[in-house]
Amino acid sequence: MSKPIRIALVAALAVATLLALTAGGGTAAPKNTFAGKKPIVIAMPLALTGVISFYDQPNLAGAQIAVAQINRRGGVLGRPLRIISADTKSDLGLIAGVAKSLLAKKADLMIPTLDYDFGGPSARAACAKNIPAISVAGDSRFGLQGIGRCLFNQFPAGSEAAIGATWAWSKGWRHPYVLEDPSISYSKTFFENFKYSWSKLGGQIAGEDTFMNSDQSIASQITKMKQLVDQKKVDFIFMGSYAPGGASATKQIRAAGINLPIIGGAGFDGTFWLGAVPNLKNFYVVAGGVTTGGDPNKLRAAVYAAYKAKFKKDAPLGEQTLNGYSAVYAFKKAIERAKSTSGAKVIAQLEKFRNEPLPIGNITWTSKCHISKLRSLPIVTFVGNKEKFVAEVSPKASILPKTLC
Amino acid sequence: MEALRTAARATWPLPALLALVAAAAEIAWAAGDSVTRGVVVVAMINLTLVIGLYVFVGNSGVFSFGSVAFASIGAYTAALLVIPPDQKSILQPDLPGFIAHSHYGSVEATLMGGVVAAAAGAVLAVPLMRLNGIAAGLATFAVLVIIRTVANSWTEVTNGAAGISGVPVTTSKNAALVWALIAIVVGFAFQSTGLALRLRGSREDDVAARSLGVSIRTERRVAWVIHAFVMGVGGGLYAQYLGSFNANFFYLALTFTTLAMLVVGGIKSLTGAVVGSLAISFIAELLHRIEQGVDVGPLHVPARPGLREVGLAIIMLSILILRPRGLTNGRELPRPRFPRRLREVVRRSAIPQGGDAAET
Amino acid sequence: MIDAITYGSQFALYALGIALIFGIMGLINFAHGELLMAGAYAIVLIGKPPWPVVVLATVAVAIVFALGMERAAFRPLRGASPATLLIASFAVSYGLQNLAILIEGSAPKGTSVSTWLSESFSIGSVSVPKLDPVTVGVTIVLLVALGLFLQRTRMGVQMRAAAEDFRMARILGVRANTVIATAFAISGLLAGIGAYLLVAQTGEVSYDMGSNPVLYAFVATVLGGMGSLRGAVLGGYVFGTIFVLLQSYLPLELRSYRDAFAFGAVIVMLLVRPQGLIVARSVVTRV
Repeated sequence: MSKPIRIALVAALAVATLLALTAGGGTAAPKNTFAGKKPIVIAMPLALTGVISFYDQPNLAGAQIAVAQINRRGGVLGRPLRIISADTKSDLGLIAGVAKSLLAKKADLMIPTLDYDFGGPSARAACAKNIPAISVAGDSRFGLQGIGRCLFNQFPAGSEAAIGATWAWSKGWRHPYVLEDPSISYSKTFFENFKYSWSKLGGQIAGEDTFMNSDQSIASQITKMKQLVDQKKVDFIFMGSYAPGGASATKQIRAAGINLPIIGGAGFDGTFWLGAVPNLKNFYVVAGGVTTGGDPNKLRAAVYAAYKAKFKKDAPLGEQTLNGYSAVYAFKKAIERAKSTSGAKVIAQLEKFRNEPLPIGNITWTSKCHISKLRSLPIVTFVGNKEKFVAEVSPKASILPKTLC
Repeated sequence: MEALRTAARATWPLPALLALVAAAAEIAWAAGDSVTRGVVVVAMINLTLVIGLYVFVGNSGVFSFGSVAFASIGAYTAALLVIPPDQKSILQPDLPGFIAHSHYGSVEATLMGGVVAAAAGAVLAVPLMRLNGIAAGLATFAVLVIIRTVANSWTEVTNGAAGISGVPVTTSKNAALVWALIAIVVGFAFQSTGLALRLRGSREDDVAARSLGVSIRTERRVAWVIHAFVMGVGGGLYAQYLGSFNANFFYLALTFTTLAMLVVGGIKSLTGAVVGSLAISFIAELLHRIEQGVDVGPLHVPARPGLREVGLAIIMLSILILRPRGLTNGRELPRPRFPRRLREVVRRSAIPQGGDAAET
Repeated sequence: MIDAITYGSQFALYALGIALIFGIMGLINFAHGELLMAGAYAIVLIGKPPWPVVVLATVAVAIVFALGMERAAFRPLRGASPATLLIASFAVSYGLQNLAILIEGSAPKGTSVSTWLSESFSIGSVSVPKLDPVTVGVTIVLLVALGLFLQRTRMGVQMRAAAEDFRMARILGVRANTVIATAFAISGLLAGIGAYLLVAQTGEVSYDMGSNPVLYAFVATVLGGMGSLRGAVLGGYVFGTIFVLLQSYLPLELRSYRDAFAFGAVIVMLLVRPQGLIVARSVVTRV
C-alpha cells in the first residue's frame, strides 16, 4: 500500500474515531410555543467541556428545568423565557469572547459560570452592557465591588466557614484541628475564615497543618495530628479542601484510625467522591442541599426531584443545581415587579430583595451589597452513599470575616 | 550589487514575517465574531511568548520548561503597576507602599513587566546557564514551580491564590499585534547578531564550538535574559487582556502550548516560531468552530464538544510525524522565486537567437 | 521515617517507568502519567471482583495503552529530535486527558480498592498504614525483577544494548521494534501497579491524576542520573525524603512554600551534580 493511501486511511480512521468519541452534541435551547411574543433571552456562557464542566452542567440543567416550568405556566409578563448557551470550554482566554457573542444575540439576562475566575469575564461583559447577571461564587469579589453593579451573588460568600464554625460550636466542640489546602483560593480562604470566625466565637485551635490537593500521601500530617488526637486534645477536624485531594485526605485520616467528626465545605458537596471512603461516618458538609432526597426544605427538594425526574439520577451537586434554577426564578420576580426587562429596572428590583424566598435560600441584596451574606446553608452528613440532613445554619453576623461588602 | 542581493536575502524574512502576521491578524479580525476576535488577540500574545521562547531555545538548543515563569513575573509586575491605586487599596490592602501608590500607563507597565522579568532572568542565568541538556531542562522546570508556588503563596504582593483582578483590559488587537511585531523584530535582530550566530554554532556542535574558544556561557546568558524580557512582555499583555488572573494560569498548560507551537513550527528558525504559533492558533479555532456543529453545503456536521482538544492533540502529533523537524523544517522563510518555467523564458528571451545557452 | 521510605518508593516506581523508556529511546514520556490514569479508571469501571483480577485488569489496561501509544505516536517518530519526541508525548498526554474528561467527566470519582489495605497496624506508638510496607515491598520486588530481567534474559540484554548504543545494537541484529515495544510494555506494567497502589492510597481517580506523578518521576530520573535505572530509584527516594522532611520540619507559615523549597533543593543538587547521582553513560551536562 502506497504511503499517501496509508496516510489517507489512517486519517479517515482517526476522524471517524474522533467523531465517535466526541459524540453527544451540544445543548439545544428549549423551543417556545408562545405565538408572536418576543422571548426574554437568558445568556448562559458556561463551561460545558473542560475542567469546570462538572460544575456548570447542573447549573445549566437547573436553569433549563426552571425555564420549562415557567413557560408552562405562561412565561414572564406573557413572554416566554429562552436560554441561549455556549461553551467557554473552561478556557480563560475564550470566556470573554464567548460571553460577548451571546450578549450580541440580544440577551436580556445572564447566568454565568459559578466561579469568580471562570464566571468573572462573562459577568464583566454583561456589566459593560448593563445586563443583569446572577450566579454563585465563594469569592466576595463576585459581586458589586469586585465586578460590577449588574452582578448578583446568591452564595453567602465569606460566610460558609462561619456557618461551619457556628454549628460546631453549637455541638459543644471546642478543640478543632484545622487542615489547610492552599492550592486554590477557595480552600485557602475557607480555612482562614474558619480560624477568624472560631476566634470570634471565643474558641482556640488545637493544631493546624497544610497539605496540597495533589499530594498523594498526607502521612506526615497525620502523624502530627495523631499525636494530639491520642492525647485527647482534639475533638473535631476542620478541612479547608476539596475533592479529590480532600477526599484522599479523609480516607487516610480514617485509615489511621482517627474517627473524630470532620467538617468540610462546598468542596465536598455531592456524593461522587464517597467511593474512596465507603461507609464514611461522622463527616459533615456545609452543603447546598440534600441531593439524594429527604431535604426538609420544600423549595430545594422540589428542584432535586425535578432534576431526578428529568435525568433519572440524583443531582450531582447541591448548590450548583440550585443556582441556575434559582437565578431564573429571581429574574422572574424582578422582571414582574419592575414590569419591564430593562437592565437598570431589573437591577433596581434585585437590589430590593430582602429575605426573598428563592429556591436556593432566603436572599437579601442591597444597593451596597450584592452578596447574600446572611443566607443559611444546610449541614449534611453521609449515610452509606446517600446524604442526610443534619441542620440548617445561618451565620452570626458578629463572627463574619471582613469581606468586600 | 551582489552585496545588496545578499543583504536583501538575509533580511527578507523579517518584512515577510511582519506582513504575514499582520495580514493574518487583520483578516481574522475583520471576518470574525467576538469569539474569533478574542482568539486573535490571544494568538498574538501567544506568538509573542513563542518568539520569546525561540530566542533562547531556538538559538541555544537548550530546552527550557520554565520560560512561562517569566511571563508570570511580567504579568504580576505589569498588573500591579497598571491598576489604579484606589482600586489596589480595596482589593489588595496589604501591598507594600511603593507598589500600592504607583500607577503607570499600559505601555510603560508592560515594558516594566519585561524589565523585571529580564532582571529575574539575569539573576537566574548565573546558576542555570552552567547546566546543559536535560539537567538544564529540569532546572528551568524547577524555576517554573518555584515562581508559581511563590506567586500562589505571597499573599501580600500577589494576592496569593486569589490572584490579581481589576486589571484594566487594554490589550486590544492593535496593541497585541504591535507588540507581536516588535517581538519579531527583536527576535530577528538578535538572531542576526554575531553572538547569536556563535550560539547557534554551539547548538549544532557543542564540542566544536568550545574548541574554537566560544564561551557558550556568556552567549547563553544574553539569550536567556532577552528571552526573559520578551516572555515578561507577553505576560504583561496577558494580564491586561484577561483582567484577572492567578499563578495557575502561567503554569503547565501555557508551557505546553507555547513549547508545542515552537516545536510544531520548527524549533530552529524564527519563521518556525511564527508559523507554528499561527498554525496551532488557527487549527484550534477551526476545530472549535467545527465542534459547535457546522453546515458544509448540504452536509450538517453535528456538534461535538471536546473535539477541539482531542483533535488538536491528534493533528499536532500528525504534523510532527509527517515533518519531525516542524512545519518549516527549521528553515527561515525562503525567498520568493519565479516559477522555473517563467525564469527559463525570461532568460531565453535575453539570449540572441540561434545561440545555444548551455543550461545545467 | 517510614513516611519518607514509602513516599520515595512511590516516586521510584513512577521514575522507573520513565527511566526505562528514556534509556532506550531518549524520550521522556510525559504521557506515562496517562498510563497511570488509564489503569486507575480501569479500577473504577471494573466493579468489585477479587483483588487479583483488579490488579490484572489495571496492569492489562496500562500495558494496552502503552503499546498503543508506542505504535501510534512514538514508532513513527523514531530518530526524531528530543524536542519533537517530547512535544509528541505532551500531545499524547493532553489528548488522553481530554478524552478522559469527555468520557468520564471532569469530576474525580471515588473508589475503594481494598479495605484490608486501607487499615493500619501499630508498631509501638506509631500507626502504620498497611499500604506502606506493601508499597515498599512491591517496589523492591519490581526493581529486583527488572534488574534480573535486564541481566539474565535475552530480551533484557538486548534492551541494555539498545540503551547503550541504539544504532550499534540494530546493526548487531537487535530488533528495534520488539525491544522498544517490550520496554513500553514493561513501563505499562510499572504504571499499572503504580496506579493500583495510588488508588489504594488516595481512593480518587481523576483525569489529571497522572500529571503530578509524571513530573515527580521526571525530577527523580534526572536527579538520579538519566538512563540509569538504579539512579532513577535512588532519585525517587532522595526526592521523596526531601519532600517529607520539608513537610515535617518547615515552620507552619512557610509550609505553603514547601514545593518552592523542594524544587530549590533540586536546583542546588543539579548544580552540584548535574550528571545525576549515578552516572550511566557519558552525558554532557555542564558547560
